Amino acid sequence: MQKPRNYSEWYSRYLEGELSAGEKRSLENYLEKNPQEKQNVEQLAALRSNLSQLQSIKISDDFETVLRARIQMEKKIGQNSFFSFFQEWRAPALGIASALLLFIAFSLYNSNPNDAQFTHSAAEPTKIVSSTPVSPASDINYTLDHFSAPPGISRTNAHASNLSGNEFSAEGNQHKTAVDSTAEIPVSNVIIVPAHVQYTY
Amino acid sequence: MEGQKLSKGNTPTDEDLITRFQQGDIYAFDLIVKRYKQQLLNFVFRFLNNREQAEDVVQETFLRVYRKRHAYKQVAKFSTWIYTIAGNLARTELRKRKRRKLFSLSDIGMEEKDYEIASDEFNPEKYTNTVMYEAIIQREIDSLSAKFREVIVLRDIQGLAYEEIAEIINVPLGTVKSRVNRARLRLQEKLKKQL
Repeated sequence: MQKPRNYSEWYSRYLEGELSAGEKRSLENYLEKNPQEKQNVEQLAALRSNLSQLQSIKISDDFETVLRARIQMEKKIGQNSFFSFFQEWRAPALGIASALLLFIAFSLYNSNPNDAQFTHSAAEPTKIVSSTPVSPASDINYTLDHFSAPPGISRTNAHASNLSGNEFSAEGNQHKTAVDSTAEIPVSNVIIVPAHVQYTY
Repeated sequence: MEGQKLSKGNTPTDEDLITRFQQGDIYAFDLIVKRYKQQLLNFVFRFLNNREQAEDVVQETFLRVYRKRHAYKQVAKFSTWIYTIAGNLARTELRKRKRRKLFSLSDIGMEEKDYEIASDEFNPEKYTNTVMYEAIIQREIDSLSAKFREVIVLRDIQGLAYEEIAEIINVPLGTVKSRVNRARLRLQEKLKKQL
């Protein structure tokens, strides 16, 4: 028999008759020497009895009617294919949506701020070959073929378009490239268009 | 009606009823509701100390049983399963209430106590004393921590076996026994100050 650190640990087991003969004898000896503790055990027995006799709370008369109505409502919702489909696929759909959002947030976080607004399909500088020697700045024609067009902007053929300087028009918006028009461009048939082109609305 | 297959002289067990319900017998579900609604209400009410919320939780418990009937496997007693559902919902309700109280100080001490007691014979004096005494006990039960409250309600008010309580709250048997003992001692201390 192992004595408890505190005899009160045995009170419930004592009241429920779960102590071994040795444990019971040991506890009763202790209680005889400690009348206050003996009184505590008696009060505990009375408490158990009182708890077991607490009045029952009466359930509402319409409990089952309300329950049946709720079940009927669930059935109707269940019969609605949209709702049942939604309920069935709610968890996976939410999971996929969360993953997509995370992916988009991660992509935006890691992307170049210059590329954040438009997708730039040309990673490398673009060479534009002209059939005639090119004069600096103001008469440059740019090809737009290497740009993926932003929403609302139609792709424009460089040869067909008539762009002036470093600007081009698209459905009323003025877009400017970051090419420095004051830069000195050697007279040549080849123009290098920088890979990162900044737009402003 | 399929339910008529249930013999009236031979009381079916809970497990018989849920099996029949799983096979499509709605009448068996009705019997489950009749058998458990009162005891679940008492369990949840003693846990939440709010009759309206307790009835809502019991309603939700039966709805879960209805919806998830095929999730029940006969490895556990049906009563354990349904008490586990009710206990989990009651704990969730308790957490919601705590969150609400964080935002609304006006909730404190304003719960209505005008619940109806099921009684056989009406004796006004005895009734008044009983109601007062029970109100004090209920208030002190309510002031126990959730883990103590749950075990004392399940053991001393609902009269469940320790083994079943261990399964419902998912803790070892020895822990349940010592927790019940500590809960009783704590409740006794609180009542001593009140009575």
